[in-house]
Amino acid sequence: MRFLLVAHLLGLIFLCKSYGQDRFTISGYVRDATSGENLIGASVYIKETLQGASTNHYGFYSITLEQGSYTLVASFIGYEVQEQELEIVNNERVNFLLDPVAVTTDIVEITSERLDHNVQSTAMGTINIDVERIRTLPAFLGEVDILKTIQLMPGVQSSGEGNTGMYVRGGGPDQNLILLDEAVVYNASHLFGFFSVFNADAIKNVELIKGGMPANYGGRLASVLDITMKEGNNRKYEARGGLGLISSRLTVEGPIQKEKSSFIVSGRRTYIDVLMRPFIRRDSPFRNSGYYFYDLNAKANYILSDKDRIFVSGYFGRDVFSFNNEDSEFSNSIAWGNATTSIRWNHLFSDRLFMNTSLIYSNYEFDFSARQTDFDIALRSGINDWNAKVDFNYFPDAFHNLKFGLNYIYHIFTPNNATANFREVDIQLGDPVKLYSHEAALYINDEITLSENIAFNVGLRYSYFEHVGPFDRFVMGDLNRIVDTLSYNRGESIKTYNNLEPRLSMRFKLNANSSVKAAYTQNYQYIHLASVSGMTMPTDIWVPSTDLVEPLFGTQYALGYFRNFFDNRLETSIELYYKTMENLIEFREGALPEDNINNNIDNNFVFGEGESYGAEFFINKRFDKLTGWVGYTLSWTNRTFPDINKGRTFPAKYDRRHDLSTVASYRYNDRLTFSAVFVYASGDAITIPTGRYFIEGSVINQFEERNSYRMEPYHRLDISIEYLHRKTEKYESSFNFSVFNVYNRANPFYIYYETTGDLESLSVEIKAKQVSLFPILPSITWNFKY
Amino acid sequence: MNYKNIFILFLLALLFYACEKDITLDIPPPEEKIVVEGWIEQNKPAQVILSRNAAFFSAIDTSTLERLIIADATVLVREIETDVQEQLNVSIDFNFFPPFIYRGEHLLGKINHSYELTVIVDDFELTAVTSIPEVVKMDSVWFEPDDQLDTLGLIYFGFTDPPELGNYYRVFAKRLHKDIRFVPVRGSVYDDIFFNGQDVEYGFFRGRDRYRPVDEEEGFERFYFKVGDTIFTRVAMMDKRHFDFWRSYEEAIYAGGNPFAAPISLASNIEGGLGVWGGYAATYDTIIAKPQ
Repeated sequence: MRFLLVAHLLGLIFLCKSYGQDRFTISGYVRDATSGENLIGASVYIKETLQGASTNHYGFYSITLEQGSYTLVASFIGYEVQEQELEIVNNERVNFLLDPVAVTTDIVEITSERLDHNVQSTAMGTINIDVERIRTLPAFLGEVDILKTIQLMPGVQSSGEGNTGMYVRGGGPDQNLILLDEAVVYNASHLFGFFSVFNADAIKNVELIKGGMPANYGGRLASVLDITMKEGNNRKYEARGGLGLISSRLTVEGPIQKEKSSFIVSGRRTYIDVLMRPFIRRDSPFRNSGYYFYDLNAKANYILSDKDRIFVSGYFGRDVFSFNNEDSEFSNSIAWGNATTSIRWNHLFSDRLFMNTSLIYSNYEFDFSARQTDFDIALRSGINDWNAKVDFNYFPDAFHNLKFGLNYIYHIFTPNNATANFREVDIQLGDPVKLYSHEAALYINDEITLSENIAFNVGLRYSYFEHVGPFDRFVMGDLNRIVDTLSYNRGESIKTYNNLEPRLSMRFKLNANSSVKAAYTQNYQYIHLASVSGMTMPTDIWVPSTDLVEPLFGTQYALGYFRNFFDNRLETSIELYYKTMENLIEFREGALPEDNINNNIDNNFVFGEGESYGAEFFINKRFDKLTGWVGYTLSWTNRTFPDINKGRTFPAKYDRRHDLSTVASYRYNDRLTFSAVFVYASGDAITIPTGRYFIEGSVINQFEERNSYRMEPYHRLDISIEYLHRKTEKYESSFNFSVFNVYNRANPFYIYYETTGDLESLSVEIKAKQVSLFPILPSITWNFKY
Repeated sequence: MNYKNIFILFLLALLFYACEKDITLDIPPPEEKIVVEGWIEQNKPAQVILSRNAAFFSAIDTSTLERLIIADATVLVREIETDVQEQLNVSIDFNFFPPFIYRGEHLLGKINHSYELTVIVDDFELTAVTSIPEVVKMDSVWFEPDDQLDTLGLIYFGFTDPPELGNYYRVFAKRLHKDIRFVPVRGSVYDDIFFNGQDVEYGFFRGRDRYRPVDEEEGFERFYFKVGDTIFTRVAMMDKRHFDFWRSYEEAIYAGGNPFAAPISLASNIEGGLGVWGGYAATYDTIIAKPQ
């Protein structure tokens, strides 16, 4: 079966090559007329035949046609449509510069036909987020957040109050591939997940794929969040920024050489620490303590020729927390963050063959140090990736859009490396451990339009993973005692995995405004996040697949019905999915953090499987004065581990039966926009003690069924008003007033137990307390643009 | 030193808005279990406390105490190497909870011997096996006042860990006229994975007698030993499963309030029940806490 699929794909390439002698190719870029930014996913089509293409991630399109006269139309949401009459007798380069529409214009009137992307494309479970649209929504503490908007989509669940961690169709937070200009971002959150690392001012495009992942993506089971940074205005200088309650932002962009090269630099820093300082008493233990985070995004690009363009981009962000108390002799500092760098080269071999080559570095680091009296401890963990990629995009004719390429990543993992000493004497905590592995992939993917009604997206990905030395494997015997050590030399192969991942999705158009889509995908994931707590914490540790830890394997089936109403003004869809996951990891029951010291962390893992299924309903209105969406997900997510819960199947922590998000924005006039967000989600599944007993006079909790208790449901309403206070040709100033949790719902964050009394007087009472985080929180942000 | 707890602490401190309320959880009653807390030390007879578990939110008072108590169990200890067996007798002792303790008389613990415990009560039959390892003698024990706290300080032990890996220690202290029993120090359980075969010095804060209420008036002094104290120390060696139990116990006690941690179930070595049956090889010393 797999072999046949490969043969079929190879056949397609030859087929594509065999005809096309009297055909010509129109190709080019679609860009924003004011800034020169490439437009991703813009539609270019032939008015007469409705044949067409979408621009790729670099704004490039290519259509191959027979000789003749045509009208070429380019359109993109939020931009004026452009038409161009063409007499095609040669291969031709046609670049479009689209003008953003003025706010007052009725967009639907001008964009007409090709807005039925929802119904037309073979893509399932794919959502594009318009960054400008996010801006008008209510902002938590004044911070516009991309990840939190993503969480409002059906099939995507938040991992907790105010948290940016997300669970997509029953997969854990580590199963999401988060890319920033192709570089993997390993920990996308600041401040324990209350804010994401993505500064909306520097972001151009956000695409989420939660099902039917095409073969050019891989390495994760659940989803891809592909974030593209802005390139920078190559026509004029521009500055924009904002002052918020807890942070400020500033972005500067402009041409280096007009219309040839540009740059963008964007920074953000919080100042809770600075604001709080005057209010902390001189004798407070928090006097010399503080917390802040910052982000820096930078990007530059250079158009070398009509055929070549180079991009260099980078991200650097850190969270820093320090605690110093002169009196208590306890001091502590914690810092963590990501750094990424991407260098990319776009090259056009011909009008039909586009290539992108990338060199990427990604890094995530967590550092902890503490000192108490005579005791010093330091901990460090992280991951470093060196990544090289070559991707080709080939447009043989109007019926195929072929992508193929290869990818290689060298991973260096640093699981918790601890050093400690007591009175200057080192305590043996084992040699520093680093784990090295090679990951590679080869893929081919073709988007085939068979007829007006039927289209396929067929892909195959071959993935390779190898764990190499140096490495010491501690062999465990009875009672979790180490009985032997196997040593591997530098570069020595310890374990190799090879896998094929078929991907298939298809669309069958029922009529002009409705279609049925189906998808089948298999994915392998070779890196795992070992998390002790239920929350995504910076302390979570990335570990590779090893001889003990087999790669995660996921299979997903999806079926969807898509229908648009009122001339595509209203998009609706229903998607059903069923998904299985194998080789999930958890720490073994009763494993303690110190078990990892002088041992391999994976010796403390247990392995199991999971399944998730559900239905997602989505109604989206993108135009007119009132816009917004309603997303509802009905789902089940279970886990089965032979060594957890006595082998009985249990619900995952984030098994949420109901998840509803409603987002609405109303543009009252050119100056005022009102928005509201309402969310409702079933409560988390948690483990609570059913019994208790006494040991040495202490109350000990007795746990039985894992995740058998449901917390109260989560619901919340946020509102905001966006007020455009001044707008001229050169200057724009606006305010965003937001109120988070309008009706002050005390949503459960966690439950803890309080024991009062003592045994001597024979009066002990245990009470459950529920803690909630955020009450009603108003905020204001001022945004400006020059 | 659990750095995750510092995170939690910080998280809580940060969320100055956080609010909490009492809630009632509807929990099914637990499966009925017998809980064992038993030990045997070299040259001493076995001692076993038995109790029952109870629903999590059930209050403890004099009326419910009765349900916890097991005074009619058959408790047998057998020395495996010699096949000598003894039935323990129950007596009342208000120093423990519940205040009934089963004690042996003639069968005394021996170094490098193993002991099987059998408990028969109602329809339950529980069994467990433990062993008493070699004693590791302390080379020195002393008190040292903290630089800034004047009369308050820690107690220290200097010893040589045996060359092979797999030595497990638990440390207790009893202050003359102040404590009624040997109380585990704070962080009382450790193994030699950090210092196998080395000469080591270890310092300890004072632990809390969990049978008794916290003396709030003591303030932070309750974590320290004090100049003038006469302190009897007891360092006991254990086997691996005995150690695993007390380590999970301490983890549960100290991280107990951490709502983000995975729930900790104690690593019991009792077949058919909860709790522990453990052998101790103990060594005793005395410290008189003097100023430096």
